[in-house]
Order: sequence, then structure tokens, then C-alpha cells
Amino acid sequence: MTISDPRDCRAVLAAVHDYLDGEAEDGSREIIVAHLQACPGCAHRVRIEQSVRALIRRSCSTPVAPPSLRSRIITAISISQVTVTRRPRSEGE
Amino acid sequence: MAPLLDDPVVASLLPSGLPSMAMETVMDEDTDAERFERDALPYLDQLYRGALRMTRNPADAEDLVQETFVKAFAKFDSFTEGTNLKAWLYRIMTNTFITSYRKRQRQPLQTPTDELADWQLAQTTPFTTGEMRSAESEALDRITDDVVIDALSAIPEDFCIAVYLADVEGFSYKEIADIMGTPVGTVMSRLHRGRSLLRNSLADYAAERGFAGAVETGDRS
Repeated sequence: MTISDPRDCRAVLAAVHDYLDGEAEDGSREIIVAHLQACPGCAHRVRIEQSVRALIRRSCSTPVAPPSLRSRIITAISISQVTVTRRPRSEGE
Repeated sequence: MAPLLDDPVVASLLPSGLPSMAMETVMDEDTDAERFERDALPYLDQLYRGALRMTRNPADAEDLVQETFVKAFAKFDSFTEGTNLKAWLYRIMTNTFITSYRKRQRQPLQTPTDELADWQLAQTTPFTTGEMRSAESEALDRITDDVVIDALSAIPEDFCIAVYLADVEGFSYKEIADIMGTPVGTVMSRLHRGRSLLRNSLADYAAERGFAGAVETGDRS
């Protein structure tokens, strides 16, 4: 998102999402950084944005998969291989 | 390809009736499985956590992840080495979730369209939730994981998936667009709306619990 006026808080804040996502357009990064240094209000809002993102990341960093899932997957994969290479057994075997 | 097997001496040592091509195929399959286990399985925990956020329950999450890996293995040779394997796995998982799991779920609030969720945003303009005060960002940090998970579960599914892929997995807009099968513009809009809803519900929670009460000086009118 391009910033029409570097002093316009609305324009800067509209581009902040891209900036925080590491997708800022060329040139807008410098405008945003300069604006945030000069504007405590916008800087504060950006801090909240960052807090929410950090909170989501933290909350979703657990749990690990149950160990049984790994073995289930390895078994499922080897069965899928066998199915390709062998004919299915007839019932009652 | 397999010059050793073409050697008449070596060939004579092979069990009769076993064509050298079959031997080659079997050897290739073993290598695929090993390669898959080495390269793809390390993403198990990450995919499981992603599946938990999609299905919202551990049993379905396990099934979704298993189905994802089995599908991924079946078409592993279509994966271009050197490209993003995690994104490729996520694309299979998201696709599987959308085509089969989502239909199974019966909650009435599932699959609202991007438009339907607008009413939730109607009263809340981005960045204007009652002018959060500086202590409110600190108050946010005191919110526990289960409250955040509940907030994520309460927003429309597509928003939740987009936010998860961006904030937790760190995928780019383009990668999320590929994973979710939508244009980049839709991804940006889902991210924006999802984050607005999350920010507002978490800020409300913090305010209700009095986390930020001490600094509420009456600016909210």
C-alpha cells in the first residue's frame, strides 16, 4: 500500500499491516518508521498490533502432536505403499 | 540409469524372472519413503497445531494431519524440490479441511462468507477501539493462552486460518493465497478483518477483567 501523505496518520496506519507483515512496499518502510518515531499515538497503536500478534503466536506454540500420531502416519504410509505393490488379500486368509 | 543391473554377469546373479525394471521401482519407492520421512515428517507438530485451529478438536486434528501426510506421500513426486515444503503440506491440509472436514461440522456459525462477517465489524473501526491506553498493551500480555484460543475460535474460520498462517507460521501473503486458493487481495482483507476482531475481543476481555481498569481515565465516551 502506498502512503499518499507521510504526515497523515490514517494513511500511515493503513500501510502498517503490510509493514508488520514484512510486505511493505519500497519506500513506505522509511515513511512508516519516521512517522512512528514522531507520532506517539500511532506508535502506541502499532505496539498494540504487535502485542496481539505476539499473543497469537505464543498461544499457538503448543501442544506437540501425540507420539501415537507419528506412528499412525508411518503405518498409514507403509500400508499405502504395500497397497500399490501387492494385490489385496482375499477374505478369510 | 542402472548400469549394474544391465551387466550380463550381474543379471545372471539375479533371481530368474525378476525384471531389472521391477527391482529399480522397488528401490525408488524405498528412497521416496525415506526422503518423505526425513523431509516432511518433521513438520508434524506444526501441522498438528494448525489442524487443531482448523478443526478445533484433537480427534479431528489427528485425522486431518494423518490424511494430509498420506495424500502428500502419494503425490510427493509432484513436489518440486527446493520450493517451500511446509507451504506445500499446508496447501494439502487446508484443501482437505475445506473439502471434507468443514462439511462435516454442523455448527451454524461455520463458513460465514467474508461479507457475512461484516456485521461483527460494523461497530468497530480498525484502531479505534475506545483508544486503547498504553497499559492496555501491557494488559494484553496478561491474557492467558486459552482465552486467545477461544477468541481465535470465535472469529470466522477463513479469517482464523489466514491469521494463523500469517502470524504463527509466518507465511507471506502470496503463500497464504496459494495455500487457501484465493487471490492475494482476499488474503489481505481476511487478515485485516480477522485481526480487528481479535484485537477488539481481546481488548474487551482485558478491560472487563479490570486488567486495564486502573488506567481507564474516562476517555471512552
